[in-house]
Amino acid sequence: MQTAVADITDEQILALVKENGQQERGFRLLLQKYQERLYWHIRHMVVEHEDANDVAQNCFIKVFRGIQRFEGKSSLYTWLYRIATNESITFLKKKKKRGADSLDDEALLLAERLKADVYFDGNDIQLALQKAIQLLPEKQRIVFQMRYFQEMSYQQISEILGTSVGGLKASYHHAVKKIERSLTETEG
Amino acid sequence: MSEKENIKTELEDLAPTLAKLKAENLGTGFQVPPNYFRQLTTDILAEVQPSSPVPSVTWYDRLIRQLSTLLQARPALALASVVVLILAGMWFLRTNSLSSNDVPGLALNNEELEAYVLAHIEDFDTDLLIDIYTAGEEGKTEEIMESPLLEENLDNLLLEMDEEEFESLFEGESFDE
Repeated sequence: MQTAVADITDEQILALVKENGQQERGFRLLLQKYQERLYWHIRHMVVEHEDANDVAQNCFIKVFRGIQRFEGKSSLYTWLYRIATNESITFLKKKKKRGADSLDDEALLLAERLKADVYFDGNDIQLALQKAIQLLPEKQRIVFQMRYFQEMSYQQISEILGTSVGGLKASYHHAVKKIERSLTETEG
Repeated sequence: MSEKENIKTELEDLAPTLAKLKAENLGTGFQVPPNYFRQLTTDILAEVQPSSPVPSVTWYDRLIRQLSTLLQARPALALASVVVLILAGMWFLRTNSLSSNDVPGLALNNEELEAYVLAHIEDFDTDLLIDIYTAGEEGKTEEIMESPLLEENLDNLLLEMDEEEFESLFEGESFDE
């Protein structure tokens, strides 16, 4: 009887990945268990599908190359999200260098691109939400996405980002207030 | 209380509009292409699977490989045939390029040629010989006739003649002026 991917523990995946001749099988299971979650984490951060696809592929290639050295000091879940987050931040920084000069310009450009994006079918309020998120400073944006969309606990976010829970709560509260104000203005 | 509940309560306190939006569960409006995640797995595995390593080939390896190819039965036979044909061709050309003069046993010296001509002088048609000789060589006859070599030969011939032979040359000729 075949075990469902969701039932496979991280420890089993790690054991397979480190076993001679079983690396590919272990990595395939890791992909099946985590690729969709990590893709959406990345997509919420970089927004556009093509960008998310590139970042996700780079992320999993790094995971494959580094997993033999993974010592288990954190959970596999935390380690994977940390890599995905770092890859996304690096990508956004590179993109920002060759893109818009200010957050306002960036948000406007993103809204335009989303309207034309075949992989975005959101309504006006969803578009307004994305625009408001883009106006946030980087750290607040990341914390908001992880809590609001990914529904992570402050503890999980703290482990991934290496930031104190108190600092995260403050960032999230600021982010939520700003977005609320932006949405209220849009509705009004 | 689950984390989901915590987030909902927190939002309702901080941002009612945002809380309402989340409760509607509209999501982000983001989509992916059909079968995207299956394709993503394939793409990632294709990237990470090591391609079979290409062994480095040295000149020595190439030489050995070519030799072993040549030494297989059919190529070796073909090679041997080509070598034999080349050698045979070279021998044939060398043999033909040697003229009869280059063969020591067949060489004739001038004395033998002269003796032959003298012995068979009557076999030659004198007029034909003259025609052939003078054709395109007009002007040279006198030169040859006057050459010291012929005068010397004539002198020798006269010296060798005895008196009767000499007189017979002038029979019927008158020396009276």
